[in-house]
Amino acid sequence: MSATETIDLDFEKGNFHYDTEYDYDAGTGLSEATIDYISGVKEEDSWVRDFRMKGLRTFTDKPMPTHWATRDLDNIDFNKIRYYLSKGQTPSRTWEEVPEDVKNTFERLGIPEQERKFLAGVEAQFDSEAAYSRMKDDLAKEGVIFVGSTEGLREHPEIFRRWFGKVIPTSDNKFSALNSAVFSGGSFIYVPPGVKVKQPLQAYFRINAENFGQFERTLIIADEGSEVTYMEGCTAPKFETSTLHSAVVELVALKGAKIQYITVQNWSNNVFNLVTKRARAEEEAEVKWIDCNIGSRLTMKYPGVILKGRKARGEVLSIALAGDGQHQDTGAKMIHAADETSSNIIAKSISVGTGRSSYRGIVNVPRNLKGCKNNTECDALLINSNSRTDTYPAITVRGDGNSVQHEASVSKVSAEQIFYMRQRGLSEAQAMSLSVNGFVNDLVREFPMEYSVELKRLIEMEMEGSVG
Amino acid sequence: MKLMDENPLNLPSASDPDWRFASVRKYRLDAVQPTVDLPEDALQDLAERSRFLDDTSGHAILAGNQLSAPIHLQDSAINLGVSLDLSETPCEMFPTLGGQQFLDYNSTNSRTSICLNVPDNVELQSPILLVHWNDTGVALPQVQVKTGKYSKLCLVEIYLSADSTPGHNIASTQVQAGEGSHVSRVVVRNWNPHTTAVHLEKLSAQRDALLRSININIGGGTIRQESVISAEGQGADLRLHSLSVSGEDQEFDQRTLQTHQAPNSRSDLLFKNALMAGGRTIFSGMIRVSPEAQYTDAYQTNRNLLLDPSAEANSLPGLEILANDVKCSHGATSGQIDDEQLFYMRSRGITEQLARQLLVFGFFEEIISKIHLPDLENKVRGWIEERFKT
Repeated sequence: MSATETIDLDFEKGNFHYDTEYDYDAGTGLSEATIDYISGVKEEDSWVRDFRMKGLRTFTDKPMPTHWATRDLDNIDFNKIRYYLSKGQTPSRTWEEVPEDVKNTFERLGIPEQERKFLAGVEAQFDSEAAYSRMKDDLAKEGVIFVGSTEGLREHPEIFRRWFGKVIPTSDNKFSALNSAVFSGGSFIYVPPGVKVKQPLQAYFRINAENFGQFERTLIIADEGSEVTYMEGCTAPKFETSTLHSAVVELVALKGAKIQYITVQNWSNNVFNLVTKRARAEEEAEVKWIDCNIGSRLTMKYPGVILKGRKARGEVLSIALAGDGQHQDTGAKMIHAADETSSNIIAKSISVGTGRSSYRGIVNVPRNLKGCKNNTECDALLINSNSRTDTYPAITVRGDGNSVQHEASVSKVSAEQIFYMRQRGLSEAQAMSLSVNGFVNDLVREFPMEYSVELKRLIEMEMEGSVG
Repeated sequence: MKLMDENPLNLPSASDPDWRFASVRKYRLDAVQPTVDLPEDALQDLAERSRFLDDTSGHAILAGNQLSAPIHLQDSAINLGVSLDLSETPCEMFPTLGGQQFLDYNSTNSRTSICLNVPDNVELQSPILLVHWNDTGVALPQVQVKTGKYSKLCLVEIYLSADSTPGHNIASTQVQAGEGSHVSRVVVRNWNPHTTAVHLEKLSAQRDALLRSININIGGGTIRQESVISAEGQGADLRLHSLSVSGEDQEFDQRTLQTHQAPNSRSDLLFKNALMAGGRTIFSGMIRVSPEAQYTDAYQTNRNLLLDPSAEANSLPGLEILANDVKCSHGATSGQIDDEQLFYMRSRGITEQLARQLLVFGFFEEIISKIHLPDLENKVRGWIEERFKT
């Protein structure tokens, strides 16, 4: 069988790090001095510094949301985290200018290769700052802006300031406040009216330093009638102490615009991945979050869409795989705020070993709206007898012109399926792997081709040794 | 009753996740009038008004916190060893779904704990009827039911208001269905609109027992029901059904937990809500399957029919699964009357108003027909129709 060959891949991919000499280091712990340092290094305007200070105050005031979330959050020691590390400010424009050791890291992750092949632009974030940033010239000619957050705020405040922090206010939750205080890196994208970006834009985030927190901030604005697809991938090497990743991603789809946001994360299993992602969809706009969560110690991520304009559409497709000792707490939020808006959530999770996957969702249809529709499907697959899965949706519907349906199911790989495949000569592990891939297949197909191949392999890797 | 001042009821915090979406402050007891003991003729009148079933094995009628008449049990039932009386020992405590304060309050202050025991192998042919009339003040009824091995019981609990004065009702019910027994329970709540109530119940089934519980919620103001159903023995089968009709200034808040501690057990939940103008409902359900409860089948369904733009339905259907060889699902839908069905009926000459009525009553019938007591079914249909007229 060829199946054995596909499993034969680099299991330690992503698990490497280089001793990098950082030019700028904000040290450990968080205080006003940390903010001053970051703001100073970045030579930011005073309004950005004020925004950060407000974020810090909100972060300090807000309690941990452990009244509903897992107590594991209490294990994060905010005083031991390094909030800013950087090798210099200006992102290099050509691959040759990128320092050798940083380049090696990205080389192993396969970024230049992918860029050469088909990517329109690459924004690779190495710890806090974008180390490499380039975009195909023709895109720039059409007026597409694809820069890091620092550069975006400095060079294009007239575009980004208007929406910055508007979709996700600083006080949204404790971690969005933390990000507002110490954000660094991430992508700022602006697509002018009517421009359809055919190739996906891609960013890659990687945590290299131990005890480092990564707080990238991404803002994508798709102007009227434009279209854009954005892909991000995340990894971190395995360190002894836990690392924190707390991003804020804001998407704005103006009238008739389409945004597709694709995430594949494979953090090592000591990373706390606490991300706030939200989009605002104006009239007839469409926002689609495609989210795949593998790895990390605890992921809490609930991409949301605020359906602000008539006939806006929001979609979340999510795959979560919780391996041994991991907790994937993922879900979606759909806030209907205009007539005839529709939303769709399809979430599939797999729990392996002592892994725990949770679905948490909000669907809200307020009074006086007509013709709003939501469909939610959550399917969970349990592999081992000590695996766990939970579903916690909250659905509020007011008025008589709307319809909402939610369905969830929990199952295990059926003994009959396994028997059938073993009869035909597959080993139990192969049969299990095939079955699991079948379970997520209809969602995996939604990913771009090279991602879906990668994804299937990652799932196979995680499944290793869980059967028998 | 002076007890109220000595044991103040501490309301849960509004941010408590167990009280999400609920109007917590409405459950305050400050403005409550003390309960007064009713005169003899009023008690007799209530006993007269309690003839809801033609044929019973026994009945107990309560008015406020007193018996309106001595508890009655048919001789045939007494001969079989069935007992129905006021208990000295308060209800055993059980885990609640956020209403612990209310259970504590009920258990310290209740004076009327009805205790029903059915011995092994006894099959009661006709139902036991319990009627609780609410008057001014806080009524604190308790019901404790135990059925022996391979016994059979049908229990009907009806909660009503004696008149239109504001009232409070904090009740607890515990049903323990013994091995192989069949218990079927119907609860009807039809208070006046000025009533607030918190009902806490725990229903458990031992090996191979079948326990069915049907809740019909028609009248009342702010009503919370917490039901914990628990499959404690292999092959236990629990079915929890509910129908609520919510209208102006009404909030029905229902929280359920289906727990499975033994393998090969089954639980099925179906909660249907019809929401008229101003109506509000909350359904929060959880299925919890322990690691040892392999081969569990657990289902949970919530259907909300919104009949007016001002209605609000909240659903929190949850699952927590720790065993791997299980079949569990939940579904929640919120919608309105299907235009196509309406069109079909109108194209056959049925007026729109009648067609709507038929469709709404059809939605109810799925639950009502599970009662299996024709005179009570008709009574319930009548009460619901009345509710729709106002």
